[in-house]
Amino acid sequence: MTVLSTSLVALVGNPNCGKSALFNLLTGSHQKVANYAGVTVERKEGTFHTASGKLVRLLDLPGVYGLEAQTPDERIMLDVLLGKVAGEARPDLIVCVTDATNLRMNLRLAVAVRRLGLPMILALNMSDLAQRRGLHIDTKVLAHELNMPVVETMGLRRSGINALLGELDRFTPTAPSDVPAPHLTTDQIARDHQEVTRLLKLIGADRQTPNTTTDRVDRIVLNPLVGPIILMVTLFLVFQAVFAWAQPVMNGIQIVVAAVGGWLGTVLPHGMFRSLLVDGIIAGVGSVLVFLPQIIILFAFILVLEEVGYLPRAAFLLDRIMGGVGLSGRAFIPLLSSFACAIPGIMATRTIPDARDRLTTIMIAPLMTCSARLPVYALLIGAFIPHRDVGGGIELQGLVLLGLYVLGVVGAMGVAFVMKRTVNRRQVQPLMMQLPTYHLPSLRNLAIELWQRVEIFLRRVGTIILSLMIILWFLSSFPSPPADYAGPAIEYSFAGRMGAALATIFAPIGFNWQISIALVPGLAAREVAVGALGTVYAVAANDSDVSGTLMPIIAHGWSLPTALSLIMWYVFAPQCLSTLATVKRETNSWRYPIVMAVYLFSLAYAASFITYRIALALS
Amino acid sequence: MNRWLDVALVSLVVVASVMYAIYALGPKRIKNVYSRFATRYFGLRAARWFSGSSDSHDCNNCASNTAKDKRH
Repeated sequence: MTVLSTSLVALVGNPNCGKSALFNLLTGSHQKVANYAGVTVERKEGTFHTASGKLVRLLDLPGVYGLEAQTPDERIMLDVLLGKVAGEARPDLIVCVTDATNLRMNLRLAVAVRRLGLPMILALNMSDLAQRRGLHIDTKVLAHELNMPVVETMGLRRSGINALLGELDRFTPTAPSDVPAPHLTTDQIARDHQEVTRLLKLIGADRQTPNTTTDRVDRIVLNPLVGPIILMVTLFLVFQAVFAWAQPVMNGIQIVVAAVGGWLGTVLPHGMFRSLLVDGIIAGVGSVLVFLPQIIILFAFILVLEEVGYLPRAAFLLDRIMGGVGLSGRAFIPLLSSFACAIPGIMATRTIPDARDRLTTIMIAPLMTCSARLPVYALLIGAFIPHRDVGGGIELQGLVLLGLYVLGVVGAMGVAFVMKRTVNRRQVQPLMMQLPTYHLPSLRNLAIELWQRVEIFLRRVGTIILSLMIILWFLSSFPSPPADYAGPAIEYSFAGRMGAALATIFAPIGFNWQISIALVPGLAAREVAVGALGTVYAVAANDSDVSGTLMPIIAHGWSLPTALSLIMWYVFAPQCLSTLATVKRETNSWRYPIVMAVYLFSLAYAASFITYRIALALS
Repeated sequence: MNRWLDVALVSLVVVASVMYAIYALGPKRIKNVYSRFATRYFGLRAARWFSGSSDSHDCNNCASNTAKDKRH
C-alpha cells in the first residue's frame, strides 16, 4: 500500500446541493479557476490545511444528477473520478455532498458514485434546515449501510464543517485501484432507486416533509399571474439600483482619475512619455475603470438572487415563454450567465443534452446584455438621457437601461423563433429541474464570488485593455503632422486615416470617425471602445482631463440620432473576439462563429440604420 | 526629458503592449511560442505565468514540455 503525502479530494453532488458554498467555506480565497484540458468545462481547485496541518487539494466538480455521461459536465466528472483526464491525477477521496432536505434525489448519485471504488465521505449538507423541518436522519445507520463516514454539514457556517474537517484529518491517502467505467443500464438505475428507498426507510427519512416557508413563498412566486410580475419588478429594481447607487462612487473614481492625470501632467516634463501616460493610459483605462461600481452592484444582485434560490424559479417561470420560441427551459441558466459575459454563458450550454437546442442557445447568447456593454450604455445614457424622476421615484436613466436589456432579450427570442421555423424544427425538450429550498445568503460566500468577478474585470483592465489603449495612443499620435498642417494632428495619424476610411462604411448609420476608430480596438472587448474614445478625444484635445469629462464631450459633439444608432449597434453587434473564439471551441468548427458574426453584424447595421434614419426624420 | 530617453521609454512600452496584445488575442500556437520562449530564457515560473488560466494545468499538459526541450 503506497502512502501519499497530499490528498486530492473531489467534491461531487447534485446541482444546488450547496457544494460550491462548502468549497468556498473550506478553501476561502485559495482558489484557482480554469478549464479542463481540451474542453471548456470549468475546473475549480482550492487548497486548505486540516487541524493537524495536512494539506488538502480540493476539486469542485460540476453538479450532476447521475453518472450517465450524457452531457460534457457529466462526462468530465466521470473521467476525473476514473482518473482518465490527461494531466489530472485520480482523486484519493470523494466527498459526496447531498442536500439533507432532499435525500431521495441526492442519495441516488451517492449510491452510483460508491460503485467507482474510491474512498468516500458522505456530507449531509443543510442538515440544520432538515432538522428544522423535523427530519432526523440516523447518520450512524446510514454510515453503516453505505460503509463510509457520514457527516452533517452546514455549508453557510464555518462551524458547520468541523465534522467534515475531522474526517478529512483522519483519512490516509492510498494509491487507488483501477476500476472499469460503469456501464449503466435501466436495470441498474432501477436497482439504485430501490436501494435509495430502502436506505431512506432505514434512516427514517422516507416521509415527505412539508417545508411550509418555501412552499408558502413558492405559492406566490411561482403563481402564473403574480410570478412574472414579481420577476419583472425584481429585475426593474436591480437596474434602478445599478444607476442610483453607483453614481457617488463613480464620481469619486472620476475625481481620482482626473487628479492623477492632472498631477502627472504637471510633474512629468513635456514629451511623448508624458502624453503616453496621461492621454493614453490614464485617459483610456480611467474611462473604463469608472464603471466598476455599476458592475459590482449588478453582480451582487445576481449573486444574491442565485444564493437565495430564486434563479431556478425564474427559469421555471420563463420556461413557457422560452418554449414558445423554440428554446429549451434548460437554456435559461446559460442565457442568464450571458448577462455577466457571453463566454461562460456559451460554456454553460454544455448542460443542454440536445445538440440542436444547444446550438440555438449558443447562437443567441451574445444578444444577452453582457457586463462589457454596461460601460458603453452607461456612457451613452449618462450623456443623452436626462437624469430625472419620471414619477414614483423611478429614474428615467434606469428605465432606459432596463429597456436595452429587454431589447437584447427580445432580439434573442426573435432569432430563436426564426431558427425554430428554419433550422431547428423539432419538439422542445421539457424542463426538469430541482427547485432548491430558499435560504439566506452567506455574506462570506457572496464576497468570494463577487471578488472573483471583480478580479476578472480588473485583470482585463490591467492587461488587455491597458495594452490596447497604449497601441491606440501610438496609432493616434503618429506620424506627427508637418508644421504647415492646418487640421487637428490626430487626423493626420494612423488612427485618423483608419477612422476616415471606416467612416465611409459607417457614415450611413451616423458614426463619426472617432466612433469608427473606437470600434476597431472595441472588437477585442466591448468596453475597450469607451477607453478608446477617451484616448482619441484626449489626444485630439491634448487634454489630460478627458477621462473625467468624456460624457459632456460626446453630449455636445454627437447628435442624438448618432447616440441612438451607436446604442443599437452595441445591442446586436458581436464586438467581442473572445466570444467568437469560444463558439469555435465549443462547436469545434469555424462555420458557426462565422455564421454568428455575419448575422449579428448584419442585424446591428440594419438596426442602427433604421434607428438613425427614424431619429433623423423626427428630430 | 532627454529626447533619447523619451523615445526609448515610449518604444519599450509600445512594443511590450503589442507583444502582449498578440499573445492575449492570438491563437493558441502563439501562446505556445511564448511559453517555449519563456521556459528557455526565463525558467519555469515565467512559463507558468504564460501558460495562463486555461487548458494547461501541469507539466504533462504544457506546451513547453516537448521532447525537444526536456529542461522543463
